[in-house]
Amino acid sequence: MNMDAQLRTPVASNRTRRVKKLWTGYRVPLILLAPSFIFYAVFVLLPLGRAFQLSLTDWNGLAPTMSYVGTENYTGIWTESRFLTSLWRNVIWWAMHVVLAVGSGLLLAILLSEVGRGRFFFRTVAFFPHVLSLAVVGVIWGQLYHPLIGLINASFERVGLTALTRIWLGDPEIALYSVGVASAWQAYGFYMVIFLAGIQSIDPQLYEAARVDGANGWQRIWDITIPSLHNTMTIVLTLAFISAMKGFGSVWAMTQGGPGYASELVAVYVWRTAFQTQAIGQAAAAGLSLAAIVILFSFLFNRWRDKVGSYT
Amino acid sequence: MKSLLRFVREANPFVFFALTVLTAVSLVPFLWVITSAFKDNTEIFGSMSLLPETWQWANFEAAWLGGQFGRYFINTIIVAVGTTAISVAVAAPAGYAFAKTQLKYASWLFYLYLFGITLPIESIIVPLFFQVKDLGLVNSHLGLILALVGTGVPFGVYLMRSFFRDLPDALGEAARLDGASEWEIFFRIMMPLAKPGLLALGVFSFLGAWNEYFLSILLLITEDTRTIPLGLVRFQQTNMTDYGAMFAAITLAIIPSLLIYVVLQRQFISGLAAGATKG
Repeated sequence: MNMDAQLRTPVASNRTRRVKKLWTGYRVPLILLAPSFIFYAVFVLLPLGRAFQLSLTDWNGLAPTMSYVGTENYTGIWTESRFLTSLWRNVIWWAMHVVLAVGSGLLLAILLSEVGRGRFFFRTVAFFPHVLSLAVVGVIWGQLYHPLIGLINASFERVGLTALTRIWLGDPEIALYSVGVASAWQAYGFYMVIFLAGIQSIDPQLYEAARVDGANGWQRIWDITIPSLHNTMTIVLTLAFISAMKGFGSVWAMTQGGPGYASELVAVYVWRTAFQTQAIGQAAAAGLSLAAIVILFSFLFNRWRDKVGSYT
Repeated sequence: MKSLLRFVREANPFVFFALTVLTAVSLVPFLWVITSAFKDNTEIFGSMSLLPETWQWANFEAAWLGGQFGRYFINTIIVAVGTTAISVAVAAPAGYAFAKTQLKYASWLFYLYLFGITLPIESIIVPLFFQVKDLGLVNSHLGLILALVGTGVPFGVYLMRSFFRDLPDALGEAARLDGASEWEIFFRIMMPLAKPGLLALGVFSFLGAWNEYFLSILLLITEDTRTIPLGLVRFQQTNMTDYGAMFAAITLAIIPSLLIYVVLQRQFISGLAAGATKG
C-alpha cells in the first residue's frame, strides 16, 4: 500500500502537469468540445463499453449477479441458425434496398435532370415519403397490404389477377420482401435528392462537348453522368448499406419480426433476445457483431472506392 | 402548375411516362389513405371508387377519441424542439473547434466522432436502456431527448465542422488583430456566418426527432408520454376492425409532417442533401 503510493506520486504529478499544460494551451477548443463529448460519452461510448462487458456475461437483466462466460455468447450466436438466418435476411434486405431504392432514386434523378420544367413538382412529391416516420410508413403499408381491404389485393382482384393476391405480411414466405418494399418506398426519394445534388455539380461543359460530338441521350447518361457520380455513388451505397443493416423501424411497425422469425433482421433479433428472452449477454454479443460488420464493411468499401478513384 | 402543364406539352414521352409512374408510386398510397379516411366500413370493403360517396367525418372523431392524438402531438413537439435546440447548441461549438482551432490530438478525437456516425445504435440498445434507467429518465421526454442528442452528436459535429471549415480563416484573424477574444470571434463573427449550417442541422435534427421510433419504443412506456409514431402504431394494434378510423388516424399523423414539409421543403431537401454529402 505504502510502496504503491510512493510509486504513484511522481507519475501522478507528472500527469497533472501535462493536463495543466493541455488546459492552458487549449482552453478554448476544450470548452467548445466538452458538451458534445459529454453527451457522446454518456449515451454512446460508455454504453458501448458496457455492451462489450455484458456480451461476456450470462446476465438476464434482472439478477443482481452475473458471471463471466468468456466468448461463449459470440460462439453461441455465430453457430446459431436463428442469428445467422437473421443476418442473411439483412443481406437480402440490402440487395432489395440497392435495387429498389437506390435504383429508382438514380433513375428519377437522371430523368429529372433531363427535364427543365416540372422538376420541382416531381421532386417534391417523390421526396415526401421520406419525410414520414418509419412507423407511419409501416402503418400505411400495413393497410396497403391488408388482405381484405388493402389497395394491393383489391387492385389485383379488380384487374382479374386474383391469383396474385397474397397475405402479404402474414405469409412467412414473403413477409420479409413485403416489408422491404415498404422500406424502399420510404427511402428512394432521399437517394434521388443526393443523386440530383451530384448531377448538378457535374461540369456542364462535359455535356456541351458530348453534344458537339453528337452523343445521344443514353451515351450522355452512360459516359458522363454515371462516371461523374462516382463519389456520390460511394456515399449513397454506404448509406444504403448502413440503413439496410439496421432496418428495425419498418419491421417492428409492420410484423415485429414475424410471422415466427420470418422477417427477423439482426436488429430485431437483438431486441427480442434482450427484452423478450432476457438473454442480455447474447443480445449484446449480437449487437456488437452487427456493429463490427457495419463499421468494417463501410471502411473497406470506402477505401476500395477511393482506390478505384473518380473519373473526373 | 402552369410550368407543370408546359412540362406535359414539351417533355419527351418516355421521360414523361417514367416520371409519372415513379411519382404515382409515392403519391397513390397517400391519396388512398386520405380518401379512405372519409369512407365508412361498407364502402371501404365494397368499392374501389377513389372518392367517397358521402364524406364521413365520423372516422376522425373516432380516431381522435380512440387515440390521444392531441397529446401525441404535444409530446412530439416537446421531443422535436428539445432535441433540435440541444443538438445545435452542443454540435455547433464542437464543429467550430474542429474546423477553426488548434487542438492537440484533434484528428484522433475527430476519428472517434466519425466512428460514432457509423456505429448502429441498434447494437448498443441494451446498455443504452440501462444507462437512461440509471439516470432515472426512463419514460420521460427528457430521457429520450438527451439520448437522441447523445446518439446524434457525432453526425451533428461532423456536419457543423464542414460548414465552419468553408468560412474563410481571414475573418477570425482580422478580428483577432483588432483585439477580439476567441469567444467574441466564435459568437459574434462565426456563428452568424454559419447560419445555413445551423439551419441544415436544425432541420435534420427536428425531422429525425419528430419521426423517431426506435429509441422511443425503448424509452417511452406509458400512454401519456407517447409521440405520434408510437401512438399511431399502437392505434393500429388496438383498432383492428374500425378501418375508417384507422385511415383517419393515419391522416391525422401525416398532416403535421405534410404542413411542415410544404412550408420548409427547400430547407428540408437542401438540409438533408447537405447532411449526406457535406464533408
